[in-house]
Amino acid sequence: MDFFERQHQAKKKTGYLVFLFCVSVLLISLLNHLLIATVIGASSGAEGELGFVTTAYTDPMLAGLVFLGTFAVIGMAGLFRRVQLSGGGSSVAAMMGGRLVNMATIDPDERKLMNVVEEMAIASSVPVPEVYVMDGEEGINAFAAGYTLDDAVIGVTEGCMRRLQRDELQGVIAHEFSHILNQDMRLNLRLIAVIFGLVALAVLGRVLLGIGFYSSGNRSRRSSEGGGGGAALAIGIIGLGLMATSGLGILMGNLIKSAVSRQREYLADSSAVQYTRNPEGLAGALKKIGALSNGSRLLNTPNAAEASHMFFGAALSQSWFSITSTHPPLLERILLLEPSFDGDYSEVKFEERRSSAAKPDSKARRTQAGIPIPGVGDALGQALPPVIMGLAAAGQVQVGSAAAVADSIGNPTQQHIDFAAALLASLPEAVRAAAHDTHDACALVFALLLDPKDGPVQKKQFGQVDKLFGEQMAKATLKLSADVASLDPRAKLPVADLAVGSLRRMAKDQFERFTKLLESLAAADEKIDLFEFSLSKLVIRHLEPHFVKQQKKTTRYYSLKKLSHECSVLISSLACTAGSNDETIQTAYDAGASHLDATRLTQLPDVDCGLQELDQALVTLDGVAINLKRKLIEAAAATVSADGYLQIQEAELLRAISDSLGCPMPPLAIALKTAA
Amino acid sequence: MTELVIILAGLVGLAVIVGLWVMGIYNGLIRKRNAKDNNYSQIGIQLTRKYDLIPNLVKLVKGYMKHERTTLEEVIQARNMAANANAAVSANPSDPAAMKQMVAAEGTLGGVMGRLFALSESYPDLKANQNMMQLTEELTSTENKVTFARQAFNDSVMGYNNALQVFPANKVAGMFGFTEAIFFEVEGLGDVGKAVVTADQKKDLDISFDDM
Repeated sequence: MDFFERQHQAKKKTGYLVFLFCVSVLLISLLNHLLIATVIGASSGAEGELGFVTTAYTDPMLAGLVFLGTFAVIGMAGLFRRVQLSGGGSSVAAMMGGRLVNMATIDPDERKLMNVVEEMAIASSVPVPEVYVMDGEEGINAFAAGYTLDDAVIGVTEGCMRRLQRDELQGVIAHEFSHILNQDMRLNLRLIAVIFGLVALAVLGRVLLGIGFYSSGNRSRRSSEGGGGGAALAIGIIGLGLMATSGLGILMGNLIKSAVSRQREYLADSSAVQYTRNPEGLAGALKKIGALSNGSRLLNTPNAAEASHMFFGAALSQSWFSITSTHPPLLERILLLEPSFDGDYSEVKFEERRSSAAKPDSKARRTQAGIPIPGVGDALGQALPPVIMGLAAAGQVQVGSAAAVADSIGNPTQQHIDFAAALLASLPEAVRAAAHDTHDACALVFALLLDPKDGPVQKKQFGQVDKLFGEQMAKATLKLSADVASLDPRAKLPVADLAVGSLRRMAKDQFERFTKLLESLAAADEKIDLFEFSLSKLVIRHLEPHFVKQQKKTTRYYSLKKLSHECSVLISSLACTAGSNDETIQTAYDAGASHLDATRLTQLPDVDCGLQELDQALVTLDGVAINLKRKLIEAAAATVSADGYLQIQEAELLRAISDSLGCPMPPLAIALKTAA
Repeated sequence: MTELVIILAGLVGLAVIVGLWVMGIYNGLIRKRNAKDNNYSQIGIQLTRKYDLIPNLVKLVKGYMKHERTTLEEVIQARNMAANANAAVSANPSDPAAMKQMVAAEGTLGGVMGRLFALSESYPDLKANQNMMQLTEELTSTENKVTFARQAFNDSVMGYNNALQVFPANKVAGMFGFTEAIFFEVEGLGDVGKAVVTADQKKDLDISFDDM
């Protein structure tokens, strides 16, 4: 199952979820109707002496009202929660009282956590997500939340951060990244809204019960006559009944939760192993959960119940109903990772803090063939390390096939993580520090866009920085420019991904100036490189959702037929970059076009496929269905690697393009010796 | 009878919806407040850095400015106060009193630092000192980062305060004891490196020189 397939599945799961939700609401409405009709029948029967009137059951007016009412309460409450969570991941983290970890933190445990997250982000080529710590939670747990890659956040408990060794922490973070890459988290956010709707009905029931019994109690004390007391009593009974039916609703909500999330947990576990190639790490974390008295439970976190399905481990105390638990049993999860485990948690050791820092990667990693997942199949078997390309010659990599490149999307492997770690270590200290600070991260991005030559263009660019951000920013850019110029070309995207992490903390007004400046920086250099241009667009695109209210991204095109112009622009401009003369350009174009044979493409001359055109085309192409994106990326990969080799610049350009289609492609050229 | 039940049920339903609404406003305020508190961390880190640099600066300057003990002591004092205030705010960013103290302490520190830099103008040896130049540069850039981060923080303070003031959130806020957040605005000499000193202050400084 590749990235595209999993995305597709997540979407289908959402449909399933909506279906289940509707069924349960219908069922609840039906029960409510029976209940209310019974109460009305009984109370009117009391006056008419006949004992019981059955007409209320078939009264269409009453039925309509009850159904409408039930739907209204559940729907409105759900919608309400939905709006509240529209801020995405950070609003969930804030809802649960998480504290944002500063990217430049110096606390050793926080630093370790951030390093692990940064490595993972670079390995999978997504912007560094915001990381939140739930202080005071001693249990070991973590969550990922958000709608898209751009607003995703990762939250961990303090216990998770302090108690786990690096390996184990990496396993947990990889598990959460899999939720991010598989789009499980979007599903999870929707689930929160659904559950909240169902809970709202229970609240209504409780209020009715209180009112009913309170007023009937009052009345019967005053006088023993029937009349109004009966109505109040009826309300009380209805309230009680509502509580019962909504109890059913909550049970069903939990069923939905577990139906959706249990399989995803298994899948995330296996993905985590796939990413890290280190089952011991994740197994170790799970064992520590088993050994702790608190386990993975959250004791002080507000709203934990609603979000219990988002967590790494069970967040609530074990329910006696195993069918409604959101997570598979702990032991079962461990046994899948480590079949020899005997279930004895007493041998699990908790090292003193930081003693583990010395040797993080000492354990030899087993290359696992794959973990059979009940109901999911051999998730690993089909997603073995996708494209591992060694350096064939200096500065270029050999490409297996375009399909292999597309396979790697959303599937980082241990090699990628090792590469990311080596890359991070190789970054000049000044660059890394700059990426961690909002102010300097701006300067860093500006420096990435500077003209490499120290000429009039660069002077003009510095002038622009000075004009919009002041002298200090220009100075900071100048200071970084030497380091940035000497960066390995493969380090540029990762540096941008790092910088995005801290740039999210800009003020809105600063972001507006930032966007403006990036545009004019690119314009200052008339023949700006395609890659640098994509880089600036990439930064903006990842930041925008934080500052500007975004329209919901929907799939607008289910066929590439109508998009022949956009496809032509994409392939033609890539061909122009890949080829050096007319002949090679032609070969490159043909290689790409052959992957898109269903669309009628026309090769455009250099002038008609400039940067602006390409940018426009990519924006449109971002709206195509996910399986078509795979085709596009394959075609793009085929274009740039028409000669069988991928220059490093071409590889990085391909990644930038893939990113702009919302498909995070792990680093392609991952030979370590040049990075170190 | 039937009508009565339906009407009552409807009323109660309305009450529940209102209740949920209140809950939503409450949660929204909590969220905004947390977001604001989280935005403080960036400032906090830079301030800590600044407070770490100041003692180095004072140590260096001491060798040159033998006659400015009072100013140097003031700088250290103001720095300590500001560092404590920063620690207090970092521990609990929602506390308006701590924040107020922080703003005041930063203002004082900015003032005395400005004076220190103005004084250093009259020590050419000091100005030419390599370490001094480096320290000044570092302080300036740190201060600049603080200013930059402050904008984002003040943005979120404004967002939170606005959410707090509109009806009906203000009623909910009153019920649950939400209070308005304090903007982090430092008056006076924020930019230490540039040592913006007004003409009057300069005159004052000159006079105090003569007195010594």
